[in-house]
Amino acid sequence: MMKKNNILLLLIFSILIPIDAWSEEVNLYSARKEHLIKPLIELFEKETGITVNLVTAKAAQLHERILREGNNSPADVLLTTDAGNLWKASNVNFFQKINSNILLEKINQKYRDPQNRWFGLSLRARVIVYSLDRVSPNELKGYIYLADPRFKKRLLIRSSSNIYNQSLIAHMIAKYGEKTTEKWAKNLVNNFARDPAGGDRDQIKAVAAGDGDIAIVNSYYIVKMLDSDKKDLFKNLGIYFPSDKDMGVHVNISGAGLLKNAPNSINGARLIEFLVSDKAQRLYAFTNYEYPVVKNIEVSKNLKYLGNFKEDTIDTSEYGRLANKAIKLADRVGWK
Amino acid sequence: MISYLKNGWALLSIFLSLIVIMPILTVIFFFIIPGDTTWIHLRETVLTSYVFNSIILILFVSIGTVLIGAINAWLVAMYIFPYKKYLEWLLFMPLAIPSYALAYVYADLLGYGGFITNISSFIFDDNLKSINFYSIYGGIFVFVFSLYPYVYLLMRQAFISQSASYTEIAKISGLNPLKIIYKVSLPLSRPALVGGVSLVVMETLADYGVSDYLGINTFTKGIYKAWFNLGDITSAGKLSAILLITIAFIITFERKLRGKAQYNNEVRSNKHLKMKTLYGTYAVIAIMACFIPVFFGFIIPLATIIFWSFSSIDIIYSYDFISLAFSSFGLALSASLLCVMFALIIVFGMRTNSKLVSPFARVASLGYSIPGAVAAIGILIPLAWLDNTINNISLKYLNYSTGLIITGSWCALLFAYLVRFLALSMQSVENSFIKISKSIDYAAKILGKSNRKILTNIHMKIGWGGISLGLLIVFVDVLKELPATMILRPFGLSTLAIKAHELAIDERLNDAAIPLLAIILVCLIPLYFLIKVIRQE
Repeated sequence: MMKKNNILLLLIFSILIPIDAWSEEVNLYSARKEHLIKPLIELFEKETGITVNLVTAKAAQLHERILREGNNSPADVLLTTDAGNLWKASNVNFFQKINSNILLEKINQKYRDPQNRWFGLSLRARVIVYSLDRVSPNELKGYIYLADPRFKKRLLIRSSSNIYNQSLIAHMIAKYGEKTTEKWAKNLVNNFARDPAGGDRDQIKAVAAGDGDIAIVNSYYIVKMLDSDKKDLFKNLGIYFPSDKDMGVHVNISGAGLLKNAPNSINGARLIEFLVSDKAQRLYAFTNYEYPVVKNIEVSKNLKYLGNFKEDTIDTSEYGRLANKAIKLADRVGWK
Repeated sequence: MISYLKNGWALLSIFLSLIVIMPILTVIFFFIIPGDTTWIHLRETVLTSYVFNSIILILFVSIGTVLIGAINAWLVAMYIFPYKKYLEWLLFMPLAIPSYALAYVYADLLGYGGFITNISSFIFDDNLKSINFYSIYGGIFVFVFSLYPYVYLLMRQAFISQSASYTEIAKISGLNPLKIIYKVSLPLSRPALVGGVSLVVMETLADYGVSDYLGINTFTKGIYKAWFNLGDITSAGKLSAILLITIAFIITFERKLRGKAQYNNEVRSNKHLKMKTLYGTYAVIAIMACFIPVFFGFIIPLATIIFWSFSSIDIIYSYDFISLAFSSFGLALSASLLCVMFALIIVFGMRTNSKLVSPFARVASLGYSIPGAVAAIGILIPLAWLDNTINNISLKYLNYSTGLIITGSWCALLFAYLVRFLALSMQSVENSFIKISKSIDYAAKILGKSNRKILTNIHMKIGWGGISLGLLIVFVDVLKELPATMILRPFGLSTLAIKAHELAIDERLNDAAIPLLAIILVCLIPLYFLIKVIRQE
């Protein structure tokens, strides 16, 4: 009987104690899917010899996990898309400040936390994809103009429960105030060609299929589709960067922060610094079709094809600050 | 220990139920905390439409699954017709395909540039470019064809184990076949029917993936919105509590209606039902009835997935599929064993002292209707608290930090599966035990057998079919499980379902095909054993 117990204890301990407790490692909680960040991680591991332990899940769920794990959370770095998610995390004091000249020099102030607790690593624009047959580019202006009755039953956009739309609405609130934005959103909903469903790609497909004329989507989706073997299906589509004199293009980030109780904080900071290195930034641009956050990095042919655009001047941290207002506003106007 | 079990069988059942109830209570606990304005906001804006959509969804999904499940179970149990040998088992197979995968498949086939739309515009030369699958109709279609096997499985088991004597008496009394179904067989298998439908309803309510993808705003979406978008755990807890209380109320109501009726086979007869052979048109109708759900729920998605996989065969080299398959298999196997073990003890406990144990057991099986992500957080809260307490005590007295020893390990994950899927195993075990006459228990007791002996030597042997069914259903469900696995998994652990899902939501459907195929293949292993077990019976 004694023997059995010993074996059991041994088994329990072998599960509980990580074998490589002494080797160099960093624990990464990622809301970006494994296949998107795997090339980056492999490069980091190769260059530094630090092992990356990875868990991926949805942003909000990782947030809950860190919250519940509390001071003893094993997480070193939280990697996620959307400034709104990063703001939420820093708002509940998940992150510590990183004093890194590399990060401060390479990343424009508007793509990072004012107190340097999180940093943008790649950029994406929320753009208009339109049917070349049914829409002329002169018809298009800034986002606010999409609420015009001329677009009735012609707009396609995904659900307001998606954070990309929440951040866009938050951006509008920051620019125009809540009242104007609510009126805008109400008219926008009136212009929907159908009830919101599916992801950004589904909106693009719906324009191609003729279910609507204009879709509002993130830039990398359309670039990726134009680069796929099905590109012929989408040759009747144009891309437009919405901007007018009041508001430029809505740009969002994917980014990361170092957790307050990170057990491997030095390695964690190194990982974030690595992600803004030229090599890593090029990977963002070529494999994920995102815009590099660092200036003067070479980008893929299709990204270049999109051309330059007039970006809005807003700090991305505003998206998180106004997120709850944005969500409730969308509920009030019936944006499903 | 044994003697304690002998006296404390009911206590043990209650204890095990309480373990499972803990996370459910954690969620409900937030019901009593006064919330902020989110709750009012949701109630004033979107909640009514969410509730309405959920009711429509579960109403039509129930009707659809009962029609398909019960009719096919009846055909398979009562008749012999060509190809039955294969169809009988193929009818299980939609269980192996995750319902979100079904949604992706049909949205793609019917969407722009999809196979079906291409064919239809080729044949009819029309300008049909896409059929909108993103609607509540699409959702009903997906749930009906992916969930009917629950009804089918439980009903089939019930029909087969029904004593032939009842139908024979009915026949002698001059009832026609339809009346026999309506007046004798269906009422006799009511526990199985209700069991199957309640599993379908709970699974539909717990779903987030399918309805989110198809743009159906369900009640669960309200819970997600409150918790994960607005960060208001109190409102999310309130909504979850409403969901659970409603389901508990309906289940209790059904049991009250059932009254004192007993469903065990008091008429003793070793006679198996004599199956009738169908010929001609009737045989064709029977084949078609069995084939249609297999076609939409399994063959079309399987063919599509195989077709996708051709262009992505390279992906086998880029991910370690062997280790993914092993961890998926290991998790599913250990979870199904754990669930069935709990189910055996709890169900048997209910038998020994129904009044005392039943309420706990019923609440414990409600976990199946909690959305996976919510259940996972409900588990995380008490476990992390326990972990942090252990760590603090250890730091204080031993000056040693234990870290989080339960959270983020296999234990937390297995616990989550137990909470989510106990209902599945309890339903199958209960269904098979209910047929065992109580007089057998009494006889064994008079002969001086202990309760444990009665369970292992009599009930488990007679009810082996139902027990292995429970093992299979939990196994398959764990294999497909997503949200709880993602939230609670330790570093480095991934599963086939996670891989498939991450690739699929990134619309790399071709790449997602390989892990999906692997899930189907792994499902075949326990299915093969189940077929063997049932054939032996």
